Order: sequence, then structure tokens, then C-alpha cells
Amino acid sequence: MKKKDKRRGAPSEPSSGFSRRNFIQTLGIAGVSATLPLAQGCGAPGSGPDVPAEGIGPSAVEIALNVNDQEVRVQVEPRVTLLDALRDHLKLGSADPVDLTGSKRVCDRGSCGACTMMIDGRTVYSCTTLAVEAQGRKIRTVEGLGKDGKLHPVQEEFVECDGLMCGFCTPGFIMSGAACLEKKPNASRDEIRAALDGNICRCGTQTRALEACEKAARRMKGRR
Amino acid sequence: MPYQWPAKRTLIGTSVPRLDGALKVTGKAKYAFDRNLPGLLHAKILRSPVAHAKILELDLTAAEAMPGVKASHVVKTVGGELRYAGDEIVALAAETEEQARDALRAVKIKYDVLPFEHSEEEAFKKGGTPKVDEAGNVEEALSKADAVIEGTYSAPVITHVCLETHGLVAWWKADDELVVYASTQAVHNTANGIKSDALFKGIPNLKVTCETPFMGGGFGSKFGPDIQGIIACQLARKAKRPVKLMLERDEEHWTGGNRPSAFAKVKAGATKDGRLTAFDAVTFGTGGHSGSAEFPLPYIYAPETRRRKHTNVAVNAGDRRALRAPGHPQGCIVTEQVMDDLADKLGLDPLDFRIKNIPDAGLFKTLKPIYEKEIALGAEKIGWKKNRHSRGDQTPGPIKRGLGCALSTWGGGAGQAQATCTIHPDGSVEVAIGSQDLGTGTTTLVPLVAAEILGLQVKDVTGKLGSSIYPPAGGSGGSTSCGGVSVAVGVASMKALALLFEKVAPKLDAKVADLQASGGRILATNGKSLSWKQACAMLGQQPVVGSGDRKDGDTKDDQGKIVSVMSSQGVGGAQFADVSVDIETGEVRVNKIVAVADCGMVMNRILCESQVLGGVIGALNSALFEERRLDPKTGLMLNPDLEWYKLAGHTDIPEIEVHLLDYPERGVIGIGEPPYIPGAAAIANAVTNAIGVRVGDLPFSPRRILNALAKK
Repeated sequence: MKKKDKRRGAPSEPSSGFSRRNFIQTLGIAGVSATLPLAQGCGAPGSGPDVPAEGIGPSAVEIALNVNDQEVRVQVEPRVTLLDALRDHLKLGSADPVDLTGSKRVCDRGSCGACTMMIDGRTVYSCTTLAVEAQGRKIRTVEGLGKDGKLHPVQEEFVECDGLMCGFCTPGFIMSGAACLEKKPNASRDEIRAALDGNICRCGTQTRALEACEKAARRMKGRR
Repeated sequence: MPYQWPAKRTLIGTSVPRLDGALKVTGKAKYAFDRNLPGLLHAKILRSPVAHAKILELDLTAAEAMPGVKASHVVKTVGGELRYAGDEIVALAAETEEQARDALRAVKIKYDVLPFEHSEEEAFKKGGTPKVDEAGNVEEALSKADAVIEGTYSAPVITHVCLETHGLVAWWKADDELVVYASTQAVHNTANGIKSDALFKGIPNLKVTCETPFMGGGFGSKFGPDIQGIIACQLARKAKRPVKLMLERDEEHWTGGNRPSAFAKVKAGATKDGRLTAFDAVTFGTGGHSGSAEFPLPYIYAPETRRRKHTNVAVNAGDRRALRAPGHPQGCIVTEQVMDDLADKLGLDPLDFRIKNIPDAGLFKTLKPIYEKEIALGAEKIGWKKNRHSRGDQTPGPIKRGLGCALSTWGGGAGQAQATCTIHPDGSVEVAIGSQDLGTGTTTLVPLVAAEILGLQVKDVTGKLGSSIYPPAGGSGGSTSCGGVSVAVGVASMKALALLFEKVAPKLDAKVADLQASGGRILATNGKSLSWKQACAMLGQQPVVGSGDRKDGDTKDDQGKIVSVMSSQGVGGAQFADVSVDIETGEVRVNKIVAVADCGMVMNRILCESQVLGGVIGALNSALFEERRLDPKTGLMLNPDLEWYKLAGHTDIPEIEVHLLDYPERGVIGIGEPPYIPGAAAIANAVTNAIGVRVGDLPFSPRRILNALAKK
């Protein structure tokens, strides 16, 4: 499984009170008063967003993405994440807009799992994957999970077992569960639990999300 | 005859999976965050980067000239005070999110940085005027008590962490017509809040509609448009294009609401036969830069002699908002730990001690037998008699195990709500109500209730909600939606059915009073019947419409007191925790929680259970993980994210057993908040029972556990 529980692991960013964004934002504020303690010790500038990626950018480029077995073309700056590209930019570049907002942006830094997609069969946090990196690979989102108008067994069981409440984390849970069971339909309860461990839910649906995945596993196992 | 629920129910109380489930699991459900309208602009807010400051200079010239920028709005200008890190200054709307972020960095601003307060303990030491609540002579009562305990207990500020952040998409369809797609738990309040805002109330004949078919969590923090909603509407008006403004995760932590902290120093006394005789508490807490931090204390129990001095203190941080049973978890956390400390000191079973001290007056008179039943059931399911030992697990080895219990209470009465039920000549039925679904299941509840009354199946009824175009209903807070919506929809359906009966009674050679709707048919006592479709066809061209108000469910009793047989309020709950603590690493693992919930008439069993499960998990988060940390040096929040602001992952979730106590004779009572209240206190008591010392301060991080053990 892809996910390491970052909350338990080494910090990916210093806990200085700065998120990536407000850090950048703070650096950019001109004329900050000298008494402001924040301007010091914030790391060296130069790692900011103005350094262009090699070869393309910084202005928008057209890229092609294979999403749910469909090719979509999209105009994005190289800094745009796969998540944002699919959620917000498809309408800009496509004559026949595909609206893919099922994957959610919740933490925007790879710690909650709401943006989980599959790339070449493996789950990724699409909020920490650049759209330009995903070119030429098979991207699968929650919208592409069902086949021929039928829900995926994991989706069906989430509805039946009530593995969801507000539903905002649900697409991420479903992708994690489906990826786990497609790889290993006889996954044990602990294996499913580990697969879902990188997904955060605030309503408290974990108990029944697990139950749903276990039921789906029994069905998927039976099918083989 | 007052309106009442049918004596024989075929749908109410059964398990109906949520009707919008398929839309949510396929990603097709459109939340505010997902609204992409043609020509949509994205807005971002520049916020104070410091805990307290005054704006000295502000210049937007460069920012407004940045690529893609279409509109700006100044919230605070030169001379304005910024009260916390995250306070709004300026907002910009641009073609893309990236451009909006870039442009914010071009805003030229100078601050005069001012002194700030980051710690409620420090603020409390500096003084303040406490509110004193006193009954009897506490000193005397304490001196006469057989056992006296003294302890400090606290719960930090925690934030709501709605997974869908606060915000909305604003779209001016015309100069005097605004539609917002908002993440809100109150569609009517949100529309009205925008309409009455100073920026817009001068617009003649302004029409505002709030659309919220889905929303990603509120927990008490989303009752109006908020400042960012107003900003989005104003930017959209200036740019003459739709604008999306959803908070980023860090902004959500800073400004999207939080639960006030609670610090308590308590001295309490009891007699050796287990009567709580004195409760003396000095308490304080912060609700942010201007919010209060009230909580009930003592909670549930009401010793005749008590004194409480409470001080609300201010820190330079975002303001409080209601969070799932506001005040109650804090009151419960403090009181229920005190109760265990006293029981342990007296050598009494904490369960017996609790039962003995549940008041015999008011609501608690009704609840006392319910609590007794809940405690007996919970104790059996957690294995209390067999496994609960006296304070401190004496078995060898580093893993210590313990059990704990806590009680809760809540109102949950029916909130304001109106609904219409329309029966069409083709047999279709529409029920409209301006309520909303927070994930609680209102979308499923509305057709379920109507179908029950009309003798149909859930799928035969179309529920229309989540928009302010429907009849007004209150915000979903205080666990009032289930009651309000059920009664309003129930009565509207009864009235519509009565109109249908009038039409069809002659055709069945029967009187209206002799008809009933059941199993998709209209049945007369004379044995004649019509299918639902046949009956509706007799309406001719016009549908019949029944209008229901929650108040229609009220009636007066013999003493002239208003009562409702369809809903009521006042519930008691009990939760039990089984935990293991590693005294070498300080790690706490919850093995099992048993939650016994009282919720009157259960409407939809599976969704009701989900509410309880969610409450238990929320409480577990607050007991073990959650804490807003402010940096003493800068006043900035250190963990405005989802890795350092910790929430349970799947492997942290224990076995959870839910038991619903069904009391249909009490009518509908809300269940959203009550199960969130007692879990943290139950875990706290279980931890103390395991390791033999009181930790007192939440959350139970390894550091706090080890520190408490070191003081042993």
C-alpha cells in the first residue's frame, strides 16, 4: 500500500507554524515592518514558485491526461497539481468539458487522503502529484471506478453499510479500499485497516467504512 | 385531536440506507467546493501574518495589476486592528487560484506589531472579573465531608476541522438576484445573512437564494455566510462574474471556528455513603479574541452546596463557534473525572456513586430510570463487574488496562420548521422543506416520514431540501433538525392525505374518518379500496398541498402547558471505555467503547447508529489527539494542517458497540450531539483506572501520560 501515516512519521515540513502557502505569502509581503519577528529564520528564498520547471512553464502549457480511459487535454501551469487540474482546469482547456470534482482537496499536503486517485493501479495523493507528472500514465478517479453504469462493489457496500456521512472524505476512502481489494481481494481486516489508515474522516465513519470494505472483499473474492 | 405518529409504523424505526449514498460514493454529489460555473473566478484572502497588529500602510496598486486579477475588496484598511494571525485584510479574485495567490503576495502592507496573548493560563493570572455562582456555604460543607478531593482538569481549544472548508460560490444572475452555493448548515440563515449585510441591504428587491444539496461537515460552525461569504458576494458583484471562495486548510483552522478551552481547579466533597455534598470550582477558558468560554459545571449532578468562579479570558486567536453540544463535553470532562476521583477515594463503585447523585428534580426525574438502564446495559457490555479493578492496574508488565464511564445529557427538541407535501394527480409526491443535510441523513428522513404517513414506499416520495427556495426551517444545530423536520413533514403529509381522502371518500362510499392509507392503497373500513394511483387520478387537474409546521405538533395538556406528542426533548446517555496504556511509552490505546444512547423514537436506525458512532469517534479524537497549539514566541498556530493537528486514523479506531434505547412514546428527539459528549470523560476515567494516577489534562499524549506517571 502506498500510504504511510505521515502523522506518525518524520515531519515533511518544519513545524514552524508556517504552512507552505502562508510561508510563501509572508515572504512575498513587501515592506514588512522591521519589528516583525517572522521575517527571520524562515529559510532561504529561491525555493519559491518563481523557479521554472526545466523545459516548460512557468506559463500554462497544454498537456494530455488519460483519465478513466478517456483522454482529456488541459491548459495548466506546471505548478498545478493533478488534483487541481482535474477539479478546476478541465473546463478551461476542453471543448467538451468533463467535470471531475469527485476527488476532494482537504489538507492539500498529502496527509488526509481525500484526494486519493490511482495512477497505473497504485494509489497516490493527487494533491502532491503535479499534473505534468501524470502525463502518459493511466489515471483513475472515483468517477471511473464503476463499470457499465454499475457501482464498484466497494461503492455499493459503502451505501449499504452506511460507510459515509457528509461524504466529503468518502471518494478517498473508496479509492483506498478499492485499490487494496483489487490488488488483494482476500485482504484481512488488518490489511484493509492499514490501507484506509491514511484517510481521515471527521464525521466518524471509519467503523462502517471498514465493515463496507470487508463485505466488498467477501463479494470480490467470491467472484474470482 | 392533536397530530400524532401512527401507532403501527412500517418505515419509521427501520434501517433505510441514505438515498444520496450513490451520488456520494461516485463523486457525483456537487458540494459548494465542486461548483464550477462558466466564467468562474477564484478568490483568496490576505490574512494577518502576526497575532496582533495595526495596519500602517496598505497599497493594492501592484496586486490589482497582477495577471488575471479581476476584483479586490478591502476588509481592513490603514488603522485597522488585526486581532489574531489569520484576521482578514484584503481579498482578490482572479482567473485561477494560482493567480489569486500570486496577486496576494503583491499587496504592499506595513504593520505595527503589537503585544499579544497566546496562553489562557497567562491571561488568567493577569486577572479578570469572574462570574460567581454560589449556593450554600461551601467551606462548611467541605469541612463536614467524609472525603474531599482536589484536582485540576483541562481540555484545550480544538478546532472543527470540517473536511469541506467554509466558503461559497457567489453568482449574480442579475443586479438584484444572487445565488450562492454555500457550505452551510443553515440555508435560510445564510441567504438572509447576505441579504441583511450592510454591503447589500440597500439593493432594492434583492433576491438571495442559497443552494446546499450537499455539504462537507459543519459541526456547529456553519450557520451563516460568514465574512468570507460576504467577501465572495462582493467580489462577484464587482467583477460581474461568479466567484468561488473556499478557505484553505490553514485558514479553516485559524478562523473556521473552535471549541473553547476549559481549565478547572476543583475541590469536592462527599459523604461515605456516596452523597456529593460540596463542589467548589475555579474555572477559566478562552473563546478567542472576543468569544466566551462558558460550560456547565457541575454537570448533571447538582449538590446543594456549590460555588463556581468562572473567568472568560481572551487570547489573540480565532473566535469560538458552537461545536457539537457546545459546553457539554467540557463540563462532562471536568465533572465526571471529579466523580471518579471521589468514588475512588471513598472506595465506592463509580457507577453506584453516579446513580446515587443523579438529581431527582426536573428533567432528571424522567432521565434517572433511563440512566439506570443505560448504566446497567453498558456495564454488562464492557464487562464492568468482571474486569473493573480499583484504581491502578496491578498486573505485571508495562501494559495497564482500565475501564471508565461517563454520563451525558442534552436537549434535542424539535427546531423551527415548515414543510409542504404535494400529492399530484399522477400519484407522485413531493415534500419540500428548507432544511439541509449535514451528513446526518435529512435527505433520507424527509421521504421516509412522508412515505410512512402516506402508506407508500420511500422511493415513491421526492424530498426537496437544501435550498432556501423551500419553506423556512431552522439551521441544523442543537440536534433540533430531526425533530423539527420530522414533525413538519409528518403534519404536512397528514394534511395532504386528508385532502386526498376528501376527494376519494365518496367514490369509496365511505366517510373520510373510515379511510386509511397503507401498502400503496387507500383502504375503507367497508372493504373497498383504491390503489394509490387510482386515488390520486381522482384529483383531476389540481394537486393537493398540505402545509405543516413544527408547531402543529404542539398541543396543550390539562394544565395548559404546551406539549408535543410527536417530539420531545431531554436525553441521557452513558458511555464506557476500555483502554490500555503502555506506561513505558505513554501510548494510550482505546480497546472498546460501549455507547448507550437514548433518543426517543428512532426514525432511521442505521443512520441513527452512524450518528452515535461518529460522536464516539469525535470524542476519542478530543481525548487522545486534538489540540490547537499556539506558538508562545509568535502567537501563530503551530499545527494548522492535518498532520500535526492530529485526528484518528483507521488503526486508532476501537471496537465500538452502539445500543439505542428506543422510547417511541416520547416522540422524536435529536441525536447528533449527545453521543459526542461523554466519550472523552469515559476515556479519561479509564486511563486513570489503568495507570493509577489522574492525568487531568487532555489530550492524553504520551508526554502527558509519562509526566503524570513521573509525579506518582
